[in-house]
Amino acid sequence: MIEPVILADAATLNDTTAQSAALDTAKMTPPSNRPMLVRDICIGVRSPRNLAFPRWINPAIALQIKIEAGRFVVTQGFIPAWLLGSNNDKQADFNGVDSAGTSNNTIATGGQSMSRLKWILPRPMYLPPNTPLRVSVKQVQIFAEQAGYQQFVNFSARGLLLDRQQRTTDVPYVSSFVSPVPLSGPNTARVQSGQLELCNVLDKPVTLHRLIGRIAWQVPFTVGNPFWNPGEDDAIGFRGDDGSGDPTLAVPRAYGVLLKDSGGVAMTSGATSEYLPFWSIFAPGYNSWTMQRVLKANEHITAILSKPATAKVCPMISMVGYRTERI
Amino acid sequence: MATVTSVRNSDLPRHQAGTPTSVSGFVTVTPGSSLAVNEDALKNNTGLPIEVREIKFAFTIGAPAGAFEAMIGVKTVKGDTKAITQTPIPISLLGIRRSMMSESLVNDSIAIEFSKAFIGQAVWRIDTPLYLMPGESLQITIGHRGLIPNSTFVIVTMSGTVVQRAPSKRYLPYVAAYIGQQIDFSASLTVPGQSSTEKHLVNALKIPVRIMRFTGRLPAIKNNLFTEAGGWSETPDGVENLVAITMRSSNGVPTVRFATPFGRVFEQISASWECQHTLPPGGYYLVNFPLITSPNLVNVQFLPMIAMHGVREDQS
Repeated sequence: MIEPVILADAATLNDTTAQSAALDTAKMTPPSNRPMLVRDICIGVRSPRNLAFPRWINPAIALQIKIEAGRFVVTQGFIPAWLLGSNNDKQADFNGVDSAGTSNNTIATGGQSMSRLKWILPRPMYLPPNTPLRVSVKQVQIFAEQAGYQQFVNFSARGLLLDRQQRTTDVPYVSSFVSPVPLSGPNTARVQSGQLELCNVLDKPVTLHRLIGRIAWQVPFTVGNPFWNPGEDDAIGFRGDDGSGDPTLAVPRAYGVLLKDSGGVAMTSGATSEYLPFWSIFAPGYNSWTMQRVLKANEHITAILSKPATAKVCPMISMVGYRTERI
Repeated sequence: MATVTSVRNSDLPRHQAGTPTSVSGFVTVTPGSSLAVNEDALKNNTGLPIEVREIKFAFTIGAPAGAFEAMIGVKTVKGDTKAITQTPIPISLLGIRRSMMSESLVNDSIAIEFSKAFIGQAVWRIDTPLYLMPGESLQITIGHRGLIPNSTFVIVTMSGTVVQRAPSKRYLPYVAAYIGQQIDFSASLTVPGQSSTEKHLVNALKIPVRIMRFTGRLPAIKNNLFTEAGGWSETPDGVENLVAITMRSSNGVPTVRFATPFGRVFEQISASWECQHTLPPGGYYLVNFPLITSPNLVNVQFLPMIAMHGVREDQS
């Protein structure tokens, strides 16, 4: 008999004492000695209840995750968690901040921000009996100003407990490129991904489903910002790229991106420049370039980013696909 | 000289296959009451089968769908009823949430809109089409759960297409639900746990049900206002993490073995857990909400609600 099942665990991350944590493999193992078909993964990231530091609108930008399914690699090292799945709803990883006094019906007393992510795997992944999902989470410091905070992470893998075993499994494969520094100030330099970042490092072809591009950025919040609670002091905040209507979004919109394949052939081109605006490829609210393309072993995609303006921004790109593995 | 005072469906030109069709009925419900929508209004008078794809609910008060419940069935030409919902189901639990905005209609910050009586709505997109044969009608009873103070005018619409013939193998939706006890942190920091029983999330039919998903909501109730969990920041951010569940199947399998935050079981956008499988007759799931401890006293109550959606063969 096939039954639904959820594997879940949680972790608390600090930027000093516990920057990373591994989830309990016992909790991440399908119960009852049965195989499991993992369909999707949900991740919640919450800031502390009392924010004594710069405000976070999107705490997910600083969370990275590493996943292995038994002996198979799912992510190539740690991957920004919000680069796993396309943003299927504008509010998928946005919740804003509740702060004390502005809303009586909140559990929080000092305000907190919450991000919720859902990754529907490219294909459901078969997990043999007694085989754990090995999951580690890590807090990364993108901007210097984000020092001194905690994150509460909870993770769930949802799927079905199966009643028969399979000989093969479709395992996702995700690799990513994170801009090495939060660029600030006038800058005409370009940032380029290396050959091992957006790369198929496996010894077999990977079927790519999509590229995902997102930008973390640091913005000064002011009264009138549509996503800032009136009454809050102006402060530095950190957010994702999902704020339509916000005038400061001109910066990531103008961010240029050029993608090339392993042979150096441009995958993007424009009428006046080979650099396209970041968001013309990774549309806001969706953040995804859907494709169906086979990437052979050791093939890679090169991302070259050009930064046109003054801002503290950190663009990131991932490629998400799958391959079939024999168990 | 005869005066035409009304037009009956049978007076209308005969329908042709392929014609889109929507029929509506309505009721006005007062807090705590329930009323059946006129069956004739939701009757198939086309002479051909109707392939129903959606059942829609509109409320003239800007109230969230979860403030109302619906008991739904199909009345056959013989007068029998084929149940679609096992019990009255909060309307917000019928189907997948399409947008986090869609259910955040009433709360403090837009209370002024509440008085303007703007329209709230909910759409249930049925997984496999429901075929309403000629002469059959949809039986829907709308209940006002008393969670908002206003009487409300509710319009129920079924939309679909007239078809030449229905497939020989047809399916009917099946929905069962568990509506928990209020979780109240206004006087105590701890709230006892609670559990569903084998009579809630159960396949009460004599045939297997193909389960498609579970849907879950954790709406907040405060000052006679009612909000749905997971909306904008007006809704309680912490609740989806604070309230956790475990779950077991009737086979004793721990389907949610360790206490898992509500928001990670019923992911926050769709508020659903897609898990297609077959539940045999009499099969059920037990949901347990362990003891909950809140960091603060808050003047608000939460109402855990979980539904199980499936389809089964229409054996009529």
